[in-house]
Amino acid sequence: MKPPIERGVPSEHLYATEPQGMVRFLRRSLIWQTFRFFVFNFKMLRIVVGGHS
Amino acid sequence: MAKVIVLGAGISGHTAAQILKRKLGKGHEVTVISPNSNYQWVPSNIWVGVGKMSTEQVVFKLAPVYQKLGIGYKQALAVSIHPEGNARHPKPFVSIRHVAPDMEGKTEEVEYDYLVNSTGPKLNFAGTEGLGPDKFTNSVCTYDHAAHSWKNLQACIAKMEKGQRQTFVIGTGHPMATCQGAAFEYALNIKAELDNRKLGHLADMWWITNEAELGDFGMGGAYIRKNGYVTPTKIFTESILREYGVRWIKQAGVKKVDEKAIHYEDILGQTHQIEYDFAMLIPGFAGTGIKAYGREDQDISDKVFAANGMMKVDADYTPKPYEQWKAADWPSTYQSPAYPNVYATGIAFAPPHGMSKPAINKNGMSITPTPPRTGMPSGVMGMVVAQNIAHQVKTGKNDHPHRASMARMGAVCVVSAGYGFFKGRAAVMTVFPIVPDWEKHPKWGRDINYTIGEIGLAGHWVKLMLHYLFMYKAKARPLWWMIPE
Ligand SMILES: Cc1cc2nc3c(=O)[nH]c(=O)nc-3n(C[C@H](O)[C@H](O)[C@H](O)COP(=O)(O)OP(=O)(O)OC[C@H]3O[C@@H](n4cnc5c(N)ncnc54)[C@H](O)[C@@H]3O)c2cc1C
Repeated sequence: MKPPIERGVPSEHLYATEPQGMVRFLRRSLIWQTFRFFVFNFKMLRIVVGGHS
Repeated sequence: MAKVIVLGAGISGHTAAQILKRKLGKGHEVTVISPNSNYQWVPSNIWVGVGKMSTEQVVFKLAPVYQKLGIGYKQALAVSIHPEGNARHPKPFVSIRHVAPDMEGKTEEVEYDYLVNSTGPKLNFAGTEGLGPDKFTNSVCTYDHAAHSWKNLQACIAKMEKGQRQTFVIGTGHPMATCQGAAFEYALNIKAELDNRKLGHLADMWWITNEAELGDFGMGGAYIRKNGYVTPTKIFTESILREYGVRWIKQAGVKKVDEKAIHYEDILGQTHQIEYDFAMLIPGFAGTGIKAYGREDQDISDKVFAANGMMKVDADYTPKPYEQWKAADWPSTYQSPAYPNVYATGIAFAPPHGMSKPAINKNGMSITPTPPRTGMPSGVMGMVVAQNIAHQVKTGKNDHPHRASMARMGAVCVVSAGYGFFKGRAAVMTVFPIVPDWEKHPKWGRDINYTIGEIGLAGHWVKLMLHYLFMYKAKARPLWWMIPE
């Protein structure tokens, strides 16, 4: 057993949000993620094109 | 015939060299000087660090690519630049020291008409006692560091397979370190790998950071529009860590690491420590230590470089308080104010100031991330400088039709959170512009319509796609130039 560890602000993680069923499902859903893949590519391209002259 | 020298063959320098040669053609000379015979796609080092990619998958030999493109290549370190020439050389030149086995230690002076300094950062492990792969902590900053980290990680996995608990501490190893994104994705990838092996329950995972709040990422945080709210990246980042079972310590200025514990000061000036079995901490970054000399061989490094060793460019370096920082302070041509034929791109240029609000504790320790200059802006800077030099060579005009300020360009950061074509995950984050512009966007600092923060399988596909796309481009395969930065 290790000695107790002195830690900065150990309880803060308890106040964070955590995704639940539907969000987790959509993150893995092949149909939804394929759609998001194209959305990301479109948005990334907009940023790339708009970022320099 | 113009002679252009590019120092460094990283994301920025390699991009600059490829575009320079394409634009200038056979009539002009482009030479790259870089010590490593390999090109590395740095963002994929994360996957080397968890054994998902081999080093061979993230690197390739530079010499054949440069030979194919007609670019000169010297495997050497730039030691000093002489922008006024000297008694021996009427023209400006760079002093280099060869490192290739057949020429090791030999020095050479290479004249130039234009110089692009893209030497990236010196990984300043010595800035924190006990830091670095030669001491007590791991690194993923280079492919060989990442491979070494994977070896050490495997040793921890072996212990966990025997039922032992292990403590992992990942984050920043210096009070002013940057590159939080890379450390963040390494923490998530480790946890994902341990979960895949059904060992996650034996891991105590900690994220330690110099950020004032999570999600700052050295860019003062950002806002994302999502689910009917505008949410700060703090909420987004904390949520990911909670989901992965990673606890965190923020506002931590790591000052020492010994074989058991990481010692850090908090924002109140109190010292704490956290024990670890495996630590990966990003070091502070500095300039690579190149010196500059004038016509009489006098040291003019102060004129050319900022105090941190990075090169001064067309930024406003007037010291000013946080409240007066402006988007217009950021450079757009990357031209040296002292020598108009010298440019610095990527991590090698000196930013005018940070993006995160400075925080200093009562002991005078500044616990503030320095601004990141990630891959995408580094590539764009390389491209824009190459286009401007080609324009100047071809027209004889000394102007800059192409500009790319970090306060006018966006960035895409894909934070890997686990590997696998069906099981992988990554957070796609975009911001526009990178440097918040509070005059133009008084409410959120950036254009909220361009900002994304979303985690999922598609993010992993994006990261994988970027890996193959940019390796293809860097290898100068057919139509490479059609792939945008
Ligand atoms: C693990 C990791 C993951 C990352 N992930 C992402 C990501 O997902 N997205 C993103 O946008 N960014 C990411 N980044 C950041 C990105 O890799 C850097 O912003 C980028 O590499 C900077 O490019 P650069 O060309 O300025 O410097 P570098 O890539 O560091 O290249 C510097 C070059 O200069 C050479 N050099 C050094 N000293 C000398 C000298 N004295 N003379 C000549 N040559 C010299 C070096 O050998 C090297 O070839 C990541 C960084 C790390 C460490």
